[in-house]
Amino acid sequence: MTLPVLQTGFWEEPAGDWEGEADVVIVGSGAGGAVAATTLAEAGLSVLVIEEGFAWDPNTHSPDTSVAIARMFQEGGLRTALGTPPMPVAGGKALGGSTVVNSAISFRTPESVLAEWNELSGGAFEDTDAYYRAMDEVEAVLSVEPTPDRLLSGYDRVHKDAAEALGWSNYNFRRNTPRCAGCGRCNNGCPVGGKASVDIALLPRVAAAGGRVVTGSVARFVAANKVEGVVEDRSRNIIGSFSVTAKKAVILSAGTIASPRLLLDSDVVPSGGEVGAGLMVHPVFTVLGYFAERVVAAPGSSQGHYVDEFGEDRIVLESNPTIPGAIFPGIPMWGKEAWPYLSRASNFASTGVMVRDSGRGRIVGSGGAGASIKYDLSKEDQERAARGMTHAAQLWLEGGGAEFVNLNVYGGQECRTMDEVRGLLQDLPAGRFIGYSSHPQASCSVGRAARQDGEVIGADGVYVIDASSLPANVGRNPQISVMSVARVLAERVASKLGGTVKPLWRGAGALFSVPQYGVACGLHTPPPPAVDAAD
Amino acid sequence: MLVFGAATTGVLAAAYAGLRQVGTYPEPGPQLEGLSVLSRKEVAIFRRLGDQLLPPGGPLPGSGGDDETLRRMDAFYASMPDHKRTLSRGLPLAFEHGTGLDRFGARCFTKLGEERCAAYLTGWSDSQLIVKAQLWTALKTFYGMTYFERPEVLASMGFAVPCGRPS
Ligand SMILES: Cc1cc2nc3c(=O)[nH]c(=O)nc-3n(C[C@H](O)[C@H](O)[C@H](O)COP(=O)(O)OP(=O)(O)OC[C@H]3O[C@@H](n4cnc5c(N)ncnc54)[C@H](O)[C@@H]3O)c2cc1C
Ligand code: SF4
Repeated sequence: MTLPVLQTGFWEEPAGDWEGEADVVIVGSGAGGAVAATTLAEAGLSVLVIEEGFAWDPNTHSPDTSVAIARMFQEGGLRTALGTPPMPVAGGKALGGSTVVNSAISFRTPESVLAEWNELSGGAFEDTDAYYRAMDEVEAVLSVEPTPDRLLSGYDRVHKDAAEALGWSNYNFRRNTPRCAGCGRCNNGCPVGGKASVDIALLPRVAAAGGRVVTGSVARFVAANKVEGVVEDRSRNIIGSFSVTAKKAVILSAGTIASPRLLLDSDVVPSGGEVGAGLMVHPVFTVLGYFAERVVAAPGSSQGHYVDEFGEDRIVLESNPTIPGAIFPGIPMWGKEAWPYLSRASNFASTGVMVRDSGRGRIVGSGGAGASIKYDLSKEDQERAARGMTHAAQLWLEGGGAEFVNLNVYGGQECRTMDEVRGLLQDLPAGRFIGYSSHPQASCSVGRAARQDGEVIGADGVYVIDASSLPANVGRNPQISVMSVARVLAERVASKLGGTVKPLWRGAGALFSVPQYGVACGLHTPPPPAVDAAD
Repeated sequence: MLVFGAATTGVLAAAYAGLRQVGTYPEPGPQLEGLSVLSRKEVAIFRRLGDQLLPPGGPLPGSGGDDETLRRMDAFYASMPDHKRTLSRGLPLAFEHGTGLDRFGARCFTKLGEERCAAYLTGWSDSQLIVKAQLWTALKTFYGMTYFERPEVLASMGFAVPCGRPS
């Protein structure tokens, strides 16, 4: 049975060399690129979107994590920031960018963060009403709603119960998953098309407005009026090259790592300046809890619940899906000693301590074939990480009654008491923390590296509109903020280039206009449509 | 997630450059004909490591060193971008020849007897040296991406086999 959920055919997947021309050429089709492209195309400008990843119909998503990562993540999921500690920096590589593989958690930009951004950027978002109007539109287009209790997974429930027992402030996440069937595999791509990623919610509108969207095309050189690169097939063989002319502007929306990397590799800006500097990553540190008496592996939404008790201290505890392949490296046991725990892997729950970092790193350009990223955990962030892991251990041990916890640190041991936890974390060197990031931000900030419409300082006609544009990190999962910033910047660019901006939210719009949308995958059946197909 | 620090990267690159052709190793066997990346040496090392880390005969099906896991390991390597693959090929070599730096002398890991083999790996798992700890975690992650993706393993651990079409 074929389940054509993506509007098959609005994009082009070239089989060899190609050329093109448009008013605006946009590199990258993720959160920032899709919003910019929709805004500009519907404003009447001709738009060409170049994406290095491919379109993945939900019917073709693999349940195998290693396959999904190889297909749809930057550098096959192995992109790493070198520093202390070294840290993986995940990013999507697909039509729709990271929104295809993200957990769909949707936070509004806190007012305090917007105020801070205004200070840092010389007032780039000082019309806060306009900013939040853009955010309302983004949220409407993506059908953001709170996760209902019925979709909480077993992990979410134990997270919630533990937080309630401690009296900590806690909530179900808001998510952009109007047809979620609760399979918990958002990071592999949604197999039932339940998530309103931008390949579904926005990019078809670019084509409908006369724009072109081309996949499998890796930009390698950018300048004010052109973009050049190579064409790849789905096995990553180079099968051609492309060259496109931008009559009015080139917009880089290749993400926080790739946008500055392209500018630096193309010598559009000199190295050592503001482009690439200022990188923030929201490092996450995982703490596993083992519940001898409670099986927590019931399916549900990928991530449904969080603890906000420590928001003032820039720490959020986010319920994580327990992935068996991640438990094994996360526990100290191996061999026969690990048998009792592995056979009861469904008794582990996991929380991610997400830190709003204060330290900053840098993208240097290309190192070998991969991005060269430098990021060290600052002393302040390290102390915050340790505090956050202590809270997480308390959540499991005292709130949830876990038998023991495993803190994800190199050489970590299981801890059965809070004293053991504090002992382990006390004076732990930065290099022993095992962190990861999927939220790189602020590497080409408006107000520092770019003007208030995203035009790169020192590179007229070249703009950056994506997560790099943020003046600083959000402290919350950033996709909605990225899209809101992109909308505000793209409106400015559209007006500057002579376009007429149209509303982003158009009622039900193009979203879910395909009747097969949200089919059962064999294990789960999504709820009936919440939005009527109409336009 | 797999991650190597700067020093660890150096160890892996050196291991791959200097040691990939050292020693003689048995053919992987008929079930593993046509692997696209792993050499017979790498197969032998991963088989021994896998059987130590995830031994057969326990509550979970198969083992970390059986043909199915090794086939998945090969596919995992094949899926990596070239530069990461080259680096990652240093990983089994670091374990195979790390004996030379330890008190196990010149004898390679795959040639150690059962007891010494377990003692050698305990030295890795308990090491407070960051480079060793990173390589150990990376090794476990490699089995996480292969053995723990097998549907029968997931099912035996109480996890629903996820939605999506098998690739
Ligand atoms: C695993 C994961 C989980 C996440 N979970 C959440 C979540 O639950 N909630 C949340 O708010 N945020 C989440 N995020 C973060 C969020 O998705 C990102 O912040 C957001 O998508 C960033 O938007 P962007 O436009 O900057 O980049 P992306 O969305 O990453 O888009 C960049 C695009 O540019 C393409 N590209 C890069 N280089 C080139 C090139 N040279 N040529 C052509 N194309 C190129 C890439 O392939 C990619 O498609 C998650 C991210 C990841 C990776
Ligand atoms: S069904 Fe829900 S949990 Fe599963 S991938 Fe889709 S949106 Fe995520």
